[in-house]
Amino acid sequence: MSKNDGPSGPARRAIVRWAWRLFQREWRQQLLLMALMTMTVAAAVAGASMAVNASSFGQDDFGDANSSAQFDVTTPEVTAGNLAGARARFGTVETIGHRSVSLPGSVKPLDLRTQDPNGTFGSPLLALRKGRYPVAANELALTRSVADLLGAQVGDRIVLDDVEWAIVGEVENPNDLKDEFALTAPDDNAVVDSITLLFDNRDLAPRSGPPAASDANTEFHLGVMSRGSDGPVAVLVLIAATVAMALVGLVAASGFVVVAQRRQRQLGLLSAIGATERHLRLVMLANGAFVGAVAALIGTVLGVAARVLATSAVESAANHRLGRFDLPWSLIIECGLLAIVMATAAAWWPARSLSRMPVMAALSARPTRPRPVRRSLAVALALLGLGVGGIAAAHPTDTTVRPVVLVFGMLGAVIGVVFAAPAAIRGLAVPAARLPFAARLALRDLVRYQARSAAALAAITLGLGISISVVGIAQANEYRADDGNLSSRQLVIRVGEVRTATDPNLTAAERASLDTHAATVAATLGKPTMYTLDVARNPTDATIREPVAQAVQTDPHSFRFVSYPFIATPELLAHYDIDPATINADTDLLTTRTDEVTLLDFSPKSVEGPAPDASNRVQVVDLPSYSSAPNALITEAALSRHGWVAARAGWLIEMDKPLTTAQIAAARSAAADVGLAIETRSTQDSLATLRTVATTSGALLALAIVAMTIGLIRSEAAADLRTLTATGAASHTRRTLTACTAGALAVLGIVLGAAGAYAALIAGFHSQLYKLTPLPFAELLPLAVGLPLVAMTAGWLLAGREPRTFSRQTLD
Amino acid sequence: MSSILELRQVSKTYGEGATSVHALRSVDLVVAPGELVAIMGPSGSGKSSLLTIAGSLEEPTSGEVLVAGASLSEMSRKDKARLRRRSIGFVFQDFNLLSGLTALENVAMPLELDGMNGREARNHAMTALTDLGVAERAAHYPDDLSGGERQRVAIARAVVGERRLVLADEPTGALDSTNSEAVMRLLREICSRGAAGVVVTHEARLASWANRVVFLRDGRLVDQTGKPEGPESLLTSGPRARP
Repeated sequence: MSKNDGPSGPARRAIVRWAWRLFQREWRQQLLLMALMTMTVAAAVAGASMAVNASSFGQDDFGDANSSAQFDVTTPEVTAGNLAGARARFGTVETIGHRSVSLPGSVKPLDLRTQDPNGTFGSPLLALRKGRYPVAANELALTRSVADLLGAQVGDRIVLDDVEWAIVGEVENPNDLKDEFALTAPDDNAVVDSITLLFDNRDLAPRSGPPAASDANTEFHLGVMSRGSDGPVAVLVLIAATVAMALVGLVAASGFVVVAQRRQRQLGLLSAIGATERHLRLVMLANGAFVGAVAALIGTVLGVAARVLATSAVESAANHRLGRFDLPWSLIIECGLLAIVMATAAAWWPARSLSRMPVMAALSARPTRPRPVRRSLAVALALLGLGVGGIAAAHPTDTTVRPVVLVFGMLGAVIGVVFAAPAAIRGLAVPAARLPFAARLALRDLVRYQARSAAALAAITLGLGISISVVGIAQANEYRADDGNLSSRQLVIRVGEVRTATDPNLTAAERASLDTHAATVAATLGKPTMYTLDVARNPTDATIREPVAQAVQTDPHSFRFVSYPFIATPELLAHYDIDPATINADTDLLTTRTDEVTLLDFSPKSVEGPAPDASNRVQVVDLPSYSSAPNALITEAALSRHGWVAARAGWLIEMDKPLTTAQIAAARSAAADVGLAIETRSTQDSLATLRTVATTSGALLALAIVAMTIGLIRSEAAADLRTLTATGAASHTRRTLTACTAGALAVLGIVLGAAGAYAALIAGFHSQLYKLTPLPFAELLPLAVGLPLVAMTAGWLLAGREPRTFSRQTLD
Repeated sequence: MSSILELRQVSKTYGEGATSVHALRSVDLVVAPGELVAIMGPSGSGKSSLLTIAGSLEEPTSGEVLVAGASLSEMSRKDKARLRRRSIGFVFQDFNLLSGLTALENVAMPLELDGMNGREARNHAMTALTDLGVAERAAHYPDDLSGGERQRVAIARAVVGERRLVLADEPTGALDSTNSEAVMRLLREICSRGAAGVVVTHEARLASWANRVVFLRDGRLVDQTGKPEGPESLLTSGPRARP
């Protein structure tokens, strides 16, 4: 016989064989655990892949080049000098020309782009979606959004910049789907406003971040931008993998703790016949490695499939095209391997505890006495404090983010939550004493089996915590209801650019004609509510068309522009529910701003330039803060007081529903026909879908963990159920028992998850706390109320069946 | 003749303070090779504690336990595990067979844990099962065996290899009278081949298979008989020898 006390070959084979037989006997429980782990690995792989795919980090402008430069075209000599110098210095240089042309009917200019689709470096920045690339003069290819705005299709002819163009194709910038432009045929002699150069600057070491002043290449008068390093992506990969694997590990731990306790007596028996601690650990480690390997394999395949199927959604979120199989393979493989490691480690921990248990205690199959939670609570608070402090110190919302500190902060917060779980479970004992029998028994069983309850709670907490964090981050980064230029239900018809207004000396007939034109545009939208927008102008100097502005004085000689206030007409005041009687007689400006704002008259009263009128009075009122809608109003009394006159600037259209692309295109076309322009909300892809997906995923994961835990605990507590049934407990008692167990875990999970997530969010956004308000109740309430209800209902419905056998039971 | 098992002033106390329970109080016991000792006593008298301490499954609070001359207190957990694999065989009341393994694999397990080649271990195991009359049930799982068959398999596991001490805690507790007699007969035969045996039992009729019967009460060894002459001797013989 071998003298080696570690598992020898035969011993290892015997142990693994037994572990496999146990696995087969417990196939239902193992399948449950494997399914949950598979789901978690799939979510981790898909989520991490999408997170990496969605991050572009400003690397979209270089194509295949590693550097770029842009300069305005001033004189042909300077342009030729820059081009020749760049070619001499960098070799092959690709040029992309830009000309800004006004888009009839829109306040936004259009980038008329001259680019070779087969360019050496720029080809990744151009893709044909429909038709063909322009090859001749007067041929254009439009991006989808521009085509929509112009209401044009391939084959149509349009007039731009007084030139008639044939639309021959639909194009896009695959690296920036929001890039709006019209592509012309490559032409070295095309008239352009600015030129972008793409080239390989091999002498420049890669560097992340914006170029420093020293990057300016004075020889060619070019500011050279170099492609950044992949550092930020690596940080994101690290964070995504860290959180994902922590979740996988906790889910595995929550399952293996139950499996280990289920095997407690068998392991005690093995120890009684001479197994060493290493033998005992091997039983669980083999189980963990096998479950981890299967879950990692299937989960990785499912995660990749989910990511592939979600390609278009990820493209939309990432704002750039992705190859269907453009996946971060190294991250995916790492996730798969780490899942095996985490599962094995998760199995090792309860195996270690069991192997150290006295043999007779293990043979008795009684649960170990719950450990005191005071120490774990202290560790939890300390780790949470360090974690939250780390996240705050990492400045995740700044450009100066400290990735390593952030990762450690997040790990601290996650581990802190894990350590807080036993204390939360123990807290259930307090209400248990006052509850009816079944609920009391359910809560006490959770406390009695503290180890497995706490592991399950930690996994539920982390799953929900991730969801709530994603919801919070999405909300913080989404336009707030009053952010942006306009709401999605608003449209402003302008007489020209934002900075211009009509001549204040227009006749009444001319004004009426403008109003009629605007009404024509509004008519394309149905019957919307329409308000005229007038600005204040100083009539003394007709050459200055800029209206009176709202500004903040930053020092005695300079101001910071805020907005052009509109005239507080009775209609506008009524629209915003401002009672004219509440406006003080000497008030000039009604504004939402509480800082020191003033009115700025651009008609110079002195040669030094514009100056504030010190006599104006400001009154704070409640108005929307959209930048292009009336967010400040000049009183009619101020007009006469300062000698200003009202000049028509535009019309505000309020709709009942958000404007559609077709409505916007029709309005633009109508505006172009009558020489007006429209402005609509600058688009931001809604993050509501992301929030919904995060909420749903978190809830499903939490429910799955609750189901697994309940399923495993129920199989463990089968004897108790038999006893209960034998002593006369009806199905109602059994249902209540299971429902209360599920409900308690769900409630504690949501409380701890929300607390942990918001502690981390507050730390992360500590300098921009307003972004976290108002709380996303649309997502939090379903989780807080719905999740426990669903868990309890499912437990209630599934737990009524009477135990199958009373007299004949299989051996442990 | 040197002893296989020796307990010297062994005491065992569970818990602390007012709730403490003295399971064993200064117990001395010596079991020689070939001897089968039955331990009797009322419930809570410390019988099972004595057995588990003798088998290195629990630590005594005080006193010393020697198995084949080696003191358990000086052994590490690994040493004790090795001792249980090689020298001590346990038979439990509720069989305690590993449910995922066949009868043959259950019996072979201690040998395989000790590093013996699988085929060789199974050969030894089959021999043990044959000796106990359950060879034909070797490929069956414990769930498929009757109570008597399970206990025979458990005994086979306890004696397979070169075991020198067999400890049986109520080995007949879950069996009918016929199977109980058969189990005791088997244990007696095993001891007659040189192993030492200690059996905890409630039944005097079964204890009569032992060479010696030890009585425990409140954790103290209060009495022990000499070698009875036959299985039924305890029911007929009056005087008992003091230790």
